[in-house]
Amino acid sequence: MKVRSDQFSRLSSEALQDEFLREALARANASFQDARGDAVDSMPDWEALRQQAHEIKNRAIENLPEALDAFEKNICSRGGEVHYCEDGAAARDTILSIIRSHDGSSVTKSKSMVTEEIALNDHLEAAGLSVLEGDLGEYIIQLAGEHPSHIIAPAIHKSREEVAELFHEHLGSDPKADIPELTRVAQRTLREAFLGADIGISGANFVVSETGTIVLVENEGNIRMSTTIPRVHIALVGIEKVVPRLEDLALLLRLLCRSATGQRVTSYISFISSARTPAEGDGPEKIYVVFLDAGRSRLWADPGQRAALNCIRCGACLNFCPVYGSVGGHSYGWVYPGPIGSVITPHFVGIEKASQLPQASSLCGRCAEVCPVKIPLPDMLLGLRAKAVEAGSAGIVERFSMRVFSLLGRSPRLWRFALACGRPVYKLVARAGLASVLGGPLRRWNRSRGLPLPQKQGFRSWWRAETKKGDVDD
Amino acid sequence: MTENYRDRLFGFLKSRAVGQPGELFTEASRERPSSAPRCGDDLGARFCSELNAVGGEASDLASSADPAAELGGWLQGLGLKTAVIDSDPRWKVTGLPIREIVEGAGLELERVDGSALPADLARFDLGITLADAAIAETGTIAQCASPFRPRSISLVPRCHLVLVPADRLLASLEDLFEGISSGAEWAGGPEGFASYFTWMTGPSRTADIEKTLTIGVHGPARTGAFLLGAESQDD
Ligand code: SF4
Repeated sequence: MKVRSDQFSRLSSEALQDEFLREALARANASFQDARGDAVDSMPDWEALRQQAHEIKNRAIENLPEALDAFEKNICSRGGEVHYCEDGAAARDTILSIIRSHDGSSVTKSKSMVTEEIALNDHLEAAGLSVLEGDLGEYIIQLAGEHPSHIIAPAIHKSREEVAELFHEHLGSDPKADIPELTRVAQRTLREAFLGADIGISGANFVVSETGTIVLVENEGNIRMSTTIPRVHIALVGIEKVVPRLEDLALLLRLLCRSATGQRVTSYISFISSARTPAEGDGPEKIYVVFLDAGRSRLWADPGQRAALNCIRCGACLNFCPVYGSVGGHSYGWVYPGPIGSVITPHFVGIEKASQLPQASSLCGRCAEVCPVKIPLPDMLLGLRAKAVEAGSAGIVERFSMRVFSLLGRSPRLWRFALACGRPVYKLVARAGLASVLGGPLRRWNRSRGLPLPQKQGFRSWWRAETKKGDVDD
Repeated sequence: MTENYRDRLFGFLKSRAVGQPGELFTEASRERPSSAPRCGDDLGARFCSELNAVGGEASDLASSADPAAELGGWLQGLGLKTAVIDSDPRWKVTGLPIREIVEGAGLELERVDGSALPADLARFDLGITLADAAIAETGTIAQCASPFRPRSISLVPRCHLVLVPADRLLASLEDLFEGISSGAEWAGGPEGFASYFTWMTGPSRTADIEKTLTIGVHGPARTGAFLLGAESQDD
């Protein structure tokens, strides 16, 4: 997928003008937040759980080579086949050649952000294959020729009317159909596709080292369809998805489902360890796991950022982020939006192509509070800001003002002098509302907020007065 | 080409490892976490209330005066025509005359083994199976791959009826995973889990359009789960 993350500020300004989007986001975030809140309240030991989940994922990520190796051995011992791909191009080619080797022509897919990452659909369609998304949200997005805007609810930015119009155009359904009817229309169309598909492609929520098992979490049943009916199942999996043991899933599934949708568990969870055995009649004849690196090992090699690979993609950090909640997923310009997107995108696509993303946060810290595996997202964003500056992202004004600030900050005397000179000027500007006539960033800043007038008494003189009274500590 | 990348990737990861990471499979990690929920003594009640809360239709036949009549009533209420049942040998020990009950409720019943194809199963209104295990904590039904039961019998018909033998009701997710790891019989022994295992908790659902909950997308819209009493096992 084309990266537009360097255009966050333009894309988000546009998004802010979109009335429907803002309403939809507000509604979605409120409902996600409520659902998660209730689910978390029902778990008395939530904090302990988060700590344990953090430790489990950490153990797998810290031992990544061993964890991958064990998974590979186990699934291969039962006839699975594992590939490792350095980047999107290699993964696309690998998947296409697997499909060709089985004479496949029709593909059904289940929702997978990794396949979005490598723009798999476009590639397969260009190669003459028919590809259908099985998840309702993804299917809507596919018909519309768009990209998902949320990692759990991909079509959150689309209104019911838009979907009805879209289905009317492509599937000939009633343009006034309501939501249950629209769902039925999609279900009927996709049912045909599932029954006729020869290749099923999925992602994975987890892969288990000790048993060589692919774990898939869903609500609709489309993943079960894609991994049961077609002759061949291909799972495209980021190398960070490993967990050590089956037993670890009890905790991780509890946290994932509650954090994502507020469910105790989702409607379906599939554990796939091999193709069908000779005694079984249905299920795929062959299973492939295609591991994708595409920047993950680079991220892994960065100790300060490695924990971002612990992410279990629950989407909670998006649902609680005031920035995401205002600008929506498309503003982030690539596959992964919200706080986690702002952290991993610069690693996956290169900081120079995504230097605006680490700035797309007020660092309020809600994301870190809700993250079920305790990823310190704000700290990581700060680290990335520093990297972006090193990579030369800061403009001349920013560099100059920071230099002045650091000069002043190192000398109390200069600091006092600057304050003494600055105060009257600031007061004048604020009082006269002059900021709006100033040019550049100041003007943009002041378009939506007033400059506050300074307090009558400055902090230093207040401090002096208070310490003289001797009651500062009271 | 991809094989080469495996070596390069592993080489890179090993060269950039920092410090000595803790072990991947620690003994401590085999212990059950303190956070595992307690489900109370009445697992049947917990199972039913969890499943009903997510739109499933659960009932404990152990406390029913006439289990066959209760089941028949539910089936009749569905208003369906055709049903398909797997050929699990355990049907014999449930003590329920399942064919009579289903046909008595006005449905045509066909029996299939594990080789039935999804497209054939999709013609039926109702799939009927036995649970390999059920989890009270979440109202979940678990089934592994089986030569007697196609994977899609619980997926492509628009309704699913599952009966849960009393000795297959487990308390928590931990119980289920520990059972699998120790090769419990209900997990199909070590081989059953080794291919495919699925959890079903209530009907298929989506909230993909305007976050509005809609039941029955690709999987069944109605899912009935009936717990069998222990005594019926002894028949
Ligand atoms: S960073 Fe944490 S909160 Fe965000 S998606 Fe990942 S696991 Fe969920």
